[in-house]
Amino acid sequence: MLLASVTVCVVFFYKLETQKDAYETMRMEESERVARIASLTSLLETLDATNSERETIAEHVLTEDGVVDLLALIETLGREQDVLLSTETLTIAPINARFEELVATISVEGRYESVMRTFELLTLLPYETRIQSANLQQTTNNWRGVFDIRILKFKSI
Amino acid sequence: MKWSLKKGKHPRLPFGGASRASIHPVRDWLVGLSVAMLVFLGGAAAIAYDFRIQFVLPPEATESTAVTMKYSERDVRHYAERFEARDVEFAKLRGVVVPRADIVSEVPENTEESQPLADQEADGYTTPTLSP
Repeated sequence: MLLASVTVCVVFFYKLETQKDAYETMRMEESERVARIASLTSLLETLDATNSERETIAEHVLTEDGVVDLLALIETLGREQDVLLSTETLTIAPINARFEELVATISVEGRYESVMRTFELLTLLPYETRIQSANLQQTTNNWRGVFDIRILKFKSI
Repeated sequence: MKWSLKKGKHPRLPFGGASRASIHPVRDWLVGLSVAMLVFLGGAAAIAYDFRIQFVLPPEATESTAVTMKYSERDVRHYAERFEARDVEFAKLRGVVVPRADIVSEVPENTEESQPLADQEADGYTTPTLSP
């Protein structure tokens, strides 16, 4: 009986040993699953902790509905700074599946300080913007600036 | 081979083993089962220990994930703060009405119209309005 029991156990563990590769694969998959769960848990915690910050950032990314508001804001800035402001071109440059850039060429004409202040305001627009190029030149009585601004925008679905 | 519980009737073990007359057959069963259980539990414990090693992530991997997340969180906070600061700056700049005197002083000195205006200011005159 003792011999039979030991034999059964030996056979059992021998079978386990021969199936080791399969177990190794299972273990690797389990390890990856545990790691993935840990990452996701950590990510969810981060998302919870930065909820308000993420909302703030999202508010600064232009939406499809916000384009008109943006153009209205730019024109308002022009009026406030007493410059002749016009949006020359408006194009879309793709970035990835989620984002794109609105490329606006804006010309501003007026006094030097007004043009510069308008330019400064354009760089501080409440959106994720970057100035691609800025060209400032003196005309007969005024200064004229042409600015290419790229504004981050959610891709329209 | 027939087992009997009667005293003195125990058979000899196979393969020429010694007489088991002194060992009770029930105890023989129990000893066999105990040894088998010990072997089985030992093997199971070894496998479980092996599994435990496999399932526990290396500390550096866990820390790496946490650090990555921490950086991500830091970036989010940084960008949010940057936007908020920029909004304040934008509102401040937009609300500022620039006095004429300041406007004059801001005109670059190498322009044709800036020099005479600067001279007037130096002499204490009120700066006249600039022609657009």
